[in-house]
Amino acid sequence: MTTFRDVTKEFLEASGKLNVGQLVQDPDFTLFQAVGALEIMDPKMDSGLLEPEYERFYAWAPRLPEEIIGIMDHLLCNEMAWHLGSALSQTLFANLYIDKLLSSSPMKLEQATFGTPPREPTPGQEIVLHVLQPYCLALIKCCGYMAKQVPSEHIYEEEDFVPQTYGLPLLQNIEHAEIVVLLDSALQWLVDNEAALSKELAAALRNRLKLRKLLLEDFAKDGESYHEGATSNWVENMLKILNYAGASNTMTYFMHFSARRPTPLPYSRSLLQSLLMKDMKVLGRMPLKCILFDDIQELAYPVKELLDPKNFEVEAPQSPKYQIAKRMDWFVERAGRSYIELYRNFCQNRARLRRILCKAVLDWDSLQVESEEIDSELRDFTNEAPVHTRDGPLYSFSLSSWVYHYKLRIMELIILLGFELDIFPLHEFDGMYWYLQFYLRTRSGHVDRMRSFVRTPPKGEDQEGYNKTISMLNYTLLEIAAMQDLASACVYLYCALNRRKVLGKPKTPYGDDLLRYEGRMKPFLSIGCPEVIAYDTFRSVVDNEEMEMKEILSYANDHIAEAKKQYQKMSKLPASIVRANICYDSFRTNVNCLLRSCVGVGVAIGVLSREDGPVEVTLDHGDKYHPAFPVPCIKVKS
Amino acid sequence: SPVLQAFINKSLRVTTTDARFFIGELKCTDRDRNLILVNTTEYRYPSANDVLNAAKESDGSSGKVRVDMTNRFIGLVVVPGNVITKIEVQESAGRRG
Repeated sequence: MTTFRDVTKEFLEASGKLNVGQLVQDPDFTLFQAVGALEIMDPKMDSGLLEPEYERFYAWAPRLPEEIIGIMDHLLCNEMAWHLGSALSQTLFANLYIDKLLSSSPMKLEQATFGTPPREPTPGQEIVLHVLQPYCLALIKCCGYMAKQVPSEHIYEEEDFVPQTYGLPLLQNIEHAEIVVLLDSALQWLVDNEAALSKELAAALRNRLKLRKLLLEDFAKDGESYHEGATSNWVENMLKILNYAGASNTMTYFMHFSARRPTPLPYSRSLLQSLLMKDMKVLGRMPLKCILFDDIQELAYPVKELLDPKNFEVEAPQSPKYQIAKRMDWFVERAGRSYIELYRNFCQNRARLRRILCKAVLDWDSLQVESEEIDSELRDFTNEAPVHTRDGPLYSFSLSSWVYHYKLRIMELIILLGFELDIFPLHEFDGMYWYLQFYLRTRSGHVDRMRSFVRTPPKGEDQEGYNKTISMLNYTLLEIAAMQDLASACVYLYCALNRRKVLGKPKTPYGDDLLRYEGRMKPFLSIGCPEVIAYDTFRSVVDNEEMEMKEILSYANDHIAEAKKQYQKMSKLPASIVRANICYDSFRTNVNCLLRSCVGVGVAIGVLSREDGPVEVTLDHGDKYHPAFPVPCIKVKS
Repeated sequence: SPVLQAFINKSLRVTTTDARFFIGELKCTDRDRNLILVNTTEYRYPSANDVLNAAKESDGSSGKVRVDMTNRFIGLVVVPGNVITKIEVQESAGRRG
């Protein structure tokens, strides 16, 4: 038997002797652990304070139709708050009606009620029984589907979504059809009781029930259902990827999906991953090998022996086809993993995407090295004829070229995301835009190289594939050139602004510029090619100290004019050329944002050229501009 | 303070101004008697409703009704000093000193 000894007086006396801020504690108990403590008597954290009210809750209290509408709307807000990342405990589960339904942990529909209904319900009670209760049950069922879908794919828990259901069931065992029956009865009840309600109220209730029914229909479908051909009320846009239009179109869709503003919700991002890959099948229909080879074929156009499907049918080990197949199997396994991972990465939030890409780039770098070796080995079996140059015979290195191209794209994206996520301070813009145009320039040279290895097929063979690759490479060069010009213009503009000392570089007593440079370039430091350049060289190419201000602004002007021209050209290209067959609207919007950024940057250059006196700069991150190219607004200092 | 240090890791029963009490192990305290307790169980007096319901179900012969306090496990809490009305330390009967 336990007894307790009153030590209040002792405690009071002893604590009074402590100094302000002095703690008496278990040495192993840390501040970090303490942070999670619930504070008693705080109404937000201490649920014991609220208890009497919740225990006394009588769900069958009569409600006016207006109140029912208000409750339904409040529930919808709570549900959306959960979808947006708040916990159920702070949203839906704090709702007394939902609590009434779930607190008995119902496993059967008969168990999920507001309690024994009154024998002779008044009209105010009838509406709760026939409209609100079905609505709540359908809402919980929707949540059940959501709670199943989101954690089933790569989503960062706690970051985007809190899957915690606190041990309460969400009617998972109850058939979807049973809930639909309830909603239909509710709709019927509204019809039968039309006379008792005003037209507006009846319509309002009906619409909410109908909305819930549509939501329930959609939530009940998962990746598998869509693969089997189901249609959707809300996610039809995503279903376009199931009409496979080639790897490049699919990749473009995912990139645009990722860049949507506002960022798509966890449900959409999770569903897109389910649509992409389930049970080792891509888009519900093909093995990973297919989409991978499609991508390689379109970009690198390797010698036809490399991707020939017949290679995989050969069993004699001494046959070169067998040897090719063996290495291609390795490549599918190794590169395929990283490739499909890239699609999944685009289903994360932007900040997480950047973080993931910083790690992924190292993976692609080692993949490039490994692929180069495989390319050399494959040459012996494909008998590739080299291109003869002054420097000797050159080989295509198709696989590693393809890898290198993606690696460079990832490096550019890391920098673009850095601007989008506001990671770089204004005084670093010149240097970071410099690296952006450096990686773009490198990719441009690489694409040129790849193009020189695209051999015209013999007459009558594969003309379509050849044309596809040539168009892909040409478009890529245009896309690169446009952004390269825009980035270069920015380098010169921010260089000029730095010279005018208006970008507010803070004093940095705890580190020097070299240290900061290495910190900033950390994701790229171990990449072999292209290398991070030495700090002194970097500073000299960015600062252009030998150049006069007039020259700098003139170059800026030339580049921005070129960029504008090229983006205007791009905006007129058809969807098939720009590989945006299933996301052409997003593509157009993106190019228009880039064009507006060009105009904005152009204006800034103009103002700077005209005004010699002191100026001040504010950065405009408005939605009309491209997120990676905010526009500096330059005003004369008054 | 050795007096207070002796209470660290002991089970305390802490009563608050709203007549609830909390039993948990003390991990940290300060001058204002804010207490951080782990493995805490909260005890509440039954509500008027509970007493009413219990009375309904009893046979009424003794004129008395027995209702248990409700309790639930709440884990890691901090009880601000200014809401504490009583602090008791748990001592098991029969344990040798």
